[in-house]
Amino acid sequence: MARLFEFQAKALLREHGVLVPRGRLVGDVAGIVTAVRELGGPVVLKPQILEGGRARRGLIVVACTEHEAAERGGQLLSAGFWGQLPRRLLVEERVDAEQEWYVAAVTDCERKAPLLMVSPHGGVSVEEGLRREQGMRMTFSPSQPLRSYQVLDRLQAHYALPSRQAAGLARLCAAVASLYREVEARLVELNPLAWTGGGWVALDGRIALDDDALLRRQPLRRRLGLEVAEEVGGRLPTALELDAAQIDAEDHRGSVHFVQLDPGGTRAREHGLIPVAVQTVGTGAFLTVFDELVPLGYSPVNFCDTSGSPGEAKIYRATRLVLRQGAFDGFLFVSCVSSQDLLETARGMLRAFQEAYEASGGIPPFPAVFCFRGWRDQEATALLEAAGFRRAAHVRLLGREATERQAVWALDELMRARAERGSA
Amino acid sequence: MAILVDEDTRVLVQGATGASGRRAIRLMKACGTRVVAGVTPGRGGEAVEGVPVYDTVREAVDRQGPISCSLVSVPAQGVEEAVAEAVDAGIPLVVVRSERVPQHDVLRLLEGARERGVRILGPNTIGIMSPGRCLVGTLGGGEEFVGQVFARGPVGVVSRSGGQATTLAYYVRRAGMGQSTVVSVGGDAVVGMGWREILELFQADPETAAVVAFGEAGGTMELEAAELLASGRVTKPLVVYVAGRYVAEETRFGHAGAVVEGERGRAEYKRQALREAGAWVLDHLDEVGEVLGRLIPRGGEAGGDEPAEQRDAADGR
Repeated sequence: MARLFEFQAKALLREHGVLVPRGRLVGDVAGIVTAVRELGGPVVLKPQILEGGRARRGLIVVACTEHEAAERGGQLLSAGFWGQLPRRLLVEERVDAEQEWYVAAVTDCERKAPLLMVSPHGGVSVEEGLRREQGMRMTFSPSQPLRSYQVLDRLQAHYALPSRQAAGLARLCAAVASLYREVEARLVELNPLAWTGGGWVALDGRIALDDDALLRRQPLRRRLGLEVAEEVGGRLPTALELDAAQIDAEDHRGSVHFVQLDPGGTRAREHGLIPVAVQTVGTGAFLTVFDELVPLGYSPVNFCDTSGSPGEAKIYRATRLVLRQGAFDGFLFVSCVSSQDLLETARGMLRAFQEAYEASGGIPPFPAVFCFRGWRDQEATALLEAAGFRRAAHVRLLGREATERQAVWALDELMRARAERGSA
Repeated sequence: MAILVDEDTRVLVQGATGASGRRAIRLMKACGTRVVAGVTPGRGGEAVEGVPVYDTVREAVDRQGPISCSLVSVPAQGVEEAVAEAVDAGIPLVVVRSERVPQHDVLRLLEGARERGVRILGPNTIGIMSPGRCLVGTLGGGEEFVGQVFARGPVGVVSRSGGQATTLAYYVRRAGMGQSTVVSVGGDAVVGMGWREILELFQADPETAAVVAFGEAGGTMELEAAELLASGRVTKPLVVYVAGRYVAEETRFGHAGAVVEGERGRAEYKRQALREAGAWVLDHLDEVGEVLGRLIPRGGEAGGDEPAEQRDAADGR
């Protein structure tokens, strides 16, 4: 899922007739000063990051003078929250809201249809607001335009607004639905949506696009400068994740899903957990293993699923990415009881290990468990055995008799043995 | 009996001449499936594994007679059209194997199928198998492997994850039982049939004595099962594992639907709802065989154990 930055979302909204505040995208203090002069009056400074909750975190700053904007903007630009993102602020004219609403067009996976959500409880506490009061919800057709009169009838039944306010909101909802369909979004969200007394203005906009649709939407991708990679939630993809997306783009047989859940293992260590690298065949197998790892004190630094019968070369490339992450203390491979050719899987993994740990013939320097279950699992295990993996005390080869839980126990045992040796 | 597919199911494969279509046909035939026709536009007149290939679904139906199920195994971008073609030709069940189908295509094809009363399984499903009778898809992968995991029996299996459908089937087998039907409903956020439809079918199937299910964090499909149990529309025992207890909120893999579902998408929420509705909620997936052993003493009718007892036992460990 590709999340757009606020300034990208607002550009698309504007094209679809949704009013947004006048604004400038800037990257330095000089840019802020120019923007304030052009926009005049008080401005709002908004860091362009992908996570929500900026207002709650105090990252949205109102500045009344040029001097104040330069000073506060400079602080934002040099703050520590940016991560890998380019440091950019959206400088906007301040719009006074009489009311703050919430409007979204989103794929409702339960009803299997697009859903329009409208709530008068917009703004910072929207989640709470939506929990308290569901708001107006209507599904609409994925193949037909949503007309504003259809929305208007429902709106008035729900909220009984003054006629001008209601008609404007209905038109805006229809525009949001049309944008949702046109860019094949998973989510288009306006929050807060300001009623100024004279009209509706989207103060913030979030759009999430569908990666699978983006593959056929080159012009949109180019225009927005979007890179396609696995869902990562609130941050840009890492270099390794982009490499992983490339593997799938070049080789269509089977799929590689790779996400760095905890790059560098910092979150694991903060929580007193030991970071481990994990590779599975099957997303479900990954989640099951994850459930077993955490209670024993381990945390996966990555998600990596290589399923759908990928060839040896694809497995090799995926495993190489997993190993290149560094910053983990152990490695766990578990397949679901898989209907893919596991001998092929083992060949790819072995090649990646032999390349990464050449001096030891592929035996990793850290505890590692390989659990092959499924089609040709015995041949897969035999391949690693022939490469000397069974002889290493800190490596364990498991087969179909083992469960997800037992594979995790095996890793735990190896990790403990290593820790004891280390402390002895 | 079984659900959705059995020895009488007449199967068509759309995308028959592609590599994955060929592989599916070979495996399906080896599992005893009646694969009566294939379709690849522009390749009419050819044959794959002895199965005649036609240019259109309509032509296949005209030549081969009524078809009960189509397996769609075409590239993602062609799925919407392929399903529309099957729906137009009046095929009542369409199984979509293809992965990475754009979500709006799925929404539209489901809208079309709903209007015509067609059942859609998938997309991104590894398939459905009634062991010894019929396979639609590629569950099992290799012919010799199929026999090691799947066998006819009293346990229904349903899973969002294709891999864990096979894992569950294997755990059932290892507990000395077989499966009535194994269904992978598809791993995408939006799929056709969900747990609701599948459980209703298992409930109506006299051969199914109990159902085992693999659920995940994200989405709300598992809650459909809780509703069915709570309302008494499903009375057969349901043994369920919901994976993903520690998945961080921000990484529910690929899921904007979280805006709609809120906390209902969390694994712990689902576990609680299922437990309250009377399901056997497993703490560890590999406990499934042990629980089934108590529910179905000798491969026959479900026994009288209540989930509450099992829970107490599990808590005491």
